[in-house]
Amino acid sequence: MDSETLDRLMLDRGLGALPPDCEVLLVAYLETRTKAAAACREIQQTVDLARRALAEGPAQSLPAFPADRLMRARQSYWVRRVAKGVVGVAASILIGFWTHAMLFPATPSNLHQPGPTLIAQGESPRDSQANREDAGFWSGRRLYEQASGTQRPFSRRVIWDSPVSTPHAGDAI
Amino acid sequence: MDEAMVRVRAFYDEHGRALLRYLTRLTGRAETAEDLLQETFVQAMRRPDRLGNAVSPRAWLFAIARHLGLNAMRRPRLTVPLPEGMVAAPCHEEDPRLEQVRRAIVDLPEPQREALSLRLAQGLSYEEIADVLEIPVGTVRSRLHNAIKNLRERLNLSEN
Repeated sequence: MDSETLDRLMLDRGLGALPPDCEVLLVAYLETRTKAAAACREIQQTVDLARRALAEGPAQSLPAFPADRLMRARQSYWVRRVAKGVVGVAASILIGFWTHAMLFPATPSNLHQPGPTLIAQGESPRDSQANREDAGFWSGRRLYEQASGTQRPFSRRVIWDSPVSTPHAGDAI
Repeated sequence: MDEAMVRVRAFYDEHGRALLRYLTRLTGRAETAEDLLQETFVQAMRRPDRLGNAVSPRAWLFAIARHLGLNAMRRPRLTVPLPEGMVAAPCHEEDPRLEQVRRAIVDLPEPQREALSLRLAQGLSYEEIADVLEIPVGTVRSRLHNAIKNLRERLNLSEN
């Protein structure tokens, strides 16, 4: 066995971290090597003294178990967990709305979807439905068609015939 | 008392004294150590799932205590330590070599001293020390070996 490995084994043994089967083998090995055995005893003595030096200290009694403080910590743990859950659900709903708005932007067919109905006092829902079908003038589709019909995207444009002349506005081709 | 509370109570009874000793050694003040001990268990109570799932709950508690202790030491001291003469001397007969060992331990590099204290004073395994200090087990082993080698050189306990 080389000296480095032997040193490591002796130090681990001194620190009480050598597996029992390795310890048996090490003890058997050291029986025939007096110099190494002396070094091993010295290591053990050093560790024992260090342990005693570190273990000593003024005797301190363990303070009472802080049940109240721990109970408050426990409650705050549950409050934080519930709050985290609520925020998570709210964030999911917002993301859902946002995704829907991105994937399905407003189109004429969407605009034609029936919205909330105002029902006059004393009027039955059936009467209200009939009124709504008649009210074509206010329908979303008619408004959209009117808006898109009046809009002419290229009705005017900038005309710049020559680099020596100034550009001027003119009608579309 | 719910289940988590009972479990924490059991850990307090089992490891409280060792943690208190460790914190006292770390901070050098008994009152601070008591406060930090309570704070350690308050922190543990805030994460009962971690305490239940930890490979070594003892190492996890020591890791919390260490963080709290180091933070407390960074804060400015509001109290003045007692003069040396006012500290009671040990009343029992003491091995004369122990004073020499104490001085040698104080002179060790901080990482070696910390690992040695966790191993010899608190009885943590190499793996638990690695968890507490957040370093590999191999580093723990080399720190401990170097610490013992340094002490051995300083103490010169040869049999001749």
